[in-house]
Amino acid sequence: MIFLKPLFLISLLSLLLLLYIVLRRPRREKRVFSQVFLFLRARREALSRISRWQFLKNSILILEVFFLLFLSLSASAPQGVMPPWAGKYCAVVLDTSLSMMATDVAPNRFVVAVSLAREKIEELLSSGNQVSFWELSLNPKIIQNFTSNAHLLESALDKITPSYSGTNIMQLLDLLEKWAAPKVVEVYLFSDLAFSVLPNRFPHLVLHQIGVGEAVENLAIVSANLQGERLWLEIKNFGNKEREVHLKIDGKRVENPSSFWIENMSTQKVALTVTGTKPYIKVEIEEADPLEWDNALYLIRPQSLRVLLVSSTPFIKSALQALGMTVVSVKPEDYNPQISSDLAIFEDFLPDVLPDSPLLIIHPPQGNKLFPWSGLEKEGFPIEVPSSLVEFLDFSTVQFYEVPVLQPGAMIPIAFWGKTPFLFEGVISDHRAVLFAPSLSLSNFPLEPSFPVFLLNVINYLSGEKAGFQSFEETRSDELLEPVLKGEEVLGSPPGLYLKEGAQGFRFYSCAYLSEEESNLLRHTEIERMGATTGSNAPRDLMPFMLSIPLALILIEEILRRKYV
Amino acid sequence: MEKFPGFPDPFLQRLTTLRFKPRPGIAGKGAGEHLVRKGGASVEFSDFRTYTWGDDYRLIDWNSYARLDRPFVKVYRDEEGIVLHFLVDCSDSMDWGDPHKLQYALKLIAALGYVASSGYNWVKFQSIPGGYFYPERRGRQQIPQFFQFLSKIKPLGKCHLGEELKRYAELNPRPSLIFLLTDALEPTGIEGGIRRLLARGHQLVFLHILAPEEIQPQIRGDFELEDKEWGTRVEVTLDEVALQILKKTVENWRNTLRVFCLAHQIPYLFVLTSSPIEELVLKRLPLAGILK
Repeated sequence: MIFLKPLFLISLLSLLLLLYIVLRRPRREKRVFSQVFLFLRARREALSRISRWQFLKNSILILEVFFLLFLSLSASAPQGVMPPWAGKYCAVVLDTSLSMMATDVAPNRFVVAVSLAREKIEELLSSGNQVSFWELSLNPKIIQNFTSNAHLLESALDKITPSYSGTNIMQLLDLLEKWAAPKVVEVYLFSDLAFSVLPNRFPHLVLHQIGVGEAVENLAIVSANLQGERLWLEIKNFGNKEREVHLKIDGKRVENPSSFWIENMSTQKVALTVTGTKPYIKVEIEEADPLEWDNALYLIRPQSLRVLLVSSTPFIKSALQALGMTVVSVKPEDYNPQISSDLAIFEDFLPDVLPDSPLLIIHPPQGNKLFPWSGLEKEGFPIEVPSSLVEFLDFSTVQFYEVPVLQPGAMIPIAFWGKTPFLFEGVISDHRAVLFAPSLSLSNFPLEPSFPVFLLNVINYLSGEKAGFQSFEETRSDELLEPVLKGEEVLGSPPGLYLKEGAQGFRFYSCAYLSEEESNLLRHTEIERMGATTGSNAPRDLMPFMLSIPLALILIEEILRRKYV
Repeated sequence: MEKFPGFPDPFLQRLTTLRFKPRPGIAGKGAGEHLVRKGGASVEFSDFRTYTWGDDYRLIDWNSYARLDRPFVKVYRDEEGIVLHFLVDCSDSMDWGDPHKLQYALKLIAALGYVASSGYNWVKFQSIPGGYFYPERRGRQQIPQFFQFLSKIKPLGKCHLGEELKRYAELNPRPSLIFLLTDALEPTGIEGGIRRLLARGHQLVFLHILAPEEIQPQIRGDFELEDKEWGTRVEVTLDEVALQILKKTVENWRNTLRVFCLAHQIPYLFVLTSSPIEELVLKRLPLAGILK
């Protein structure tokens, strides 16, 4: 506790002495006088005459001044009263995860990181900075708070041990952000990993990543996409020399191409044709490197969907065909609920009897019973709320002529036109349903590039239960989603198959390793800066000190008035 | 109990020999002993003027007629009584001091009123703030009544002296000789009120009455002083240094008032209540040219 500083105890003793003197002092005698304004004038005159050293003759005043001085110093950091403090607040973070103990290099990365951190701390302290020391593991924690004491930091460095776990960089940065605010903290991260963090997510942190160790050989599958029978892979060679790559799918070596070469620090994109009906396939690089987490990949095979489309416009049909869906197109007057489909899309039409499948309802007509209209909104602009359906869609150029105001019942609005919701998701008859309120004929949305992406996202969402995935509701806020194949441990705990979201709303299924960061995918020689760009002095908490200044002035004035007038 | 004002007979007899000595310019009233410029029936020759039809033959100066062969009439000055206004500050600040300031002021007025009545002058009293008023009266027969009136005067609370003087000037336009008796302990100043009285043509005599304790307090130590009139409080520690500063401040304040009065040709007399009234009336006022 800061108030238990010796300085504070001294000031507290001064206060007690002061209180004693004040309580024991003789009280003023009250007198009625014919006038006091001449006394007031005389007091002003006296105050103007007082010599600067005269007040030092007063013992009570000296005690009071000392008390306030001590109190101010103990309540506020000394840095606060030394204005041009040019130092910074720094956090040295050491990765103690399992990968730091890898034996492909000697000494291992942990030993090297401790040595580098020690040098960095010395360098930072010599520049007059305040340094704190943190551990990055699955449960990141602070080892030493901000200090300029080299011994404390040395001691912390000596005590740190490997955690033999993974890393949770986001939790660490969240902790640091809370710890730092409102200051700006320079974070020096010593790790064998390179982390990419969204800019401005941590406005009070300036992150410097310092790579530790070097992966001699490292081939990695960095991305993959499976659409029908076509498989696209992106393979990167992080090693120092050119490598020949052999691929295996479901344990069998790929014959076409049988092998290809990748130069060091280069990426090779490969397109393959895969057949079969297994719900997922395993892709791996044969004899890649000891860091095996990024050598293999599991992909979910997309389901071939049969889509019932009841529409009188060509937009949706064209988009579905482009996406490779099997479309059963029916005119509204020919609709029959007995037509079987994996999901149904209704545009400008809503039958009384709904099919037993997931639904996409576009612009339910006026007068329908399920989603009655309560008005029309003609002014607004799209506003999104976090949802996997619209998360990566660009609505900035989308225009609607009008949006009917619907009463959606149990459907949840996820996007708004001004204040009017125009996109809903929910459940109808135990099936997922999406409701899109505006008319496609009175909008440029079908002509926008985001339209087929939106349609694909909706279809993915609607077919989610059929594919046996976990609900998006539970997982979409995570960067890496839960393993979709529950109970099937692929590469030990906790690795598994993950559903990932890429740019433009396309999703692909990947990952057989702890996390992308832990896979040692990227080299770590570069130093990345992000977050706040300022390096200026962070303001100290000077409130107690600032409060004590007027207090001191009032007290001094009172004493002078009392004693010398 | 001694009867107010308790002056000894010799002092009263001395008072009957004194007369006021106003400057020319104030309005007279009725017959009296003070010569005025306008023509009258006194023995004090004033001027000649050409004889006109209707003038008394007896007033023709025959010597002038013999020399100039034209009839001239002798004009004499008139003698009138003057009206003396006694304005007394009866605020709570005057209810203080040893000797008491208000009582001292009232005794002084009694003496001056006695002098006025002895000289066929009119006496008028007005308290500030309003509350006690004695109308214009003359003659020695009204002196007991005047003394009785003065003996009943009590302090009247707080007032802004400057504002009260302005109001008095508005209500009394006839130029008179005004005796202003006050301690002038008014934080906002009284100069504005005095200027307004002068603007009306009044002649003013400023008797600044203070108790000795006010210019040099004898108390020492820590006090919480309360203003007698306004209730303002101030905490003071009175030691030698503080008293010196206070004395200097009071002196500056008095000098400011004195210089103001000099600049406006107002006789200013600083009166300590410890000084005998006899000395003041018989010596200082004649020396100041107020009495003769």
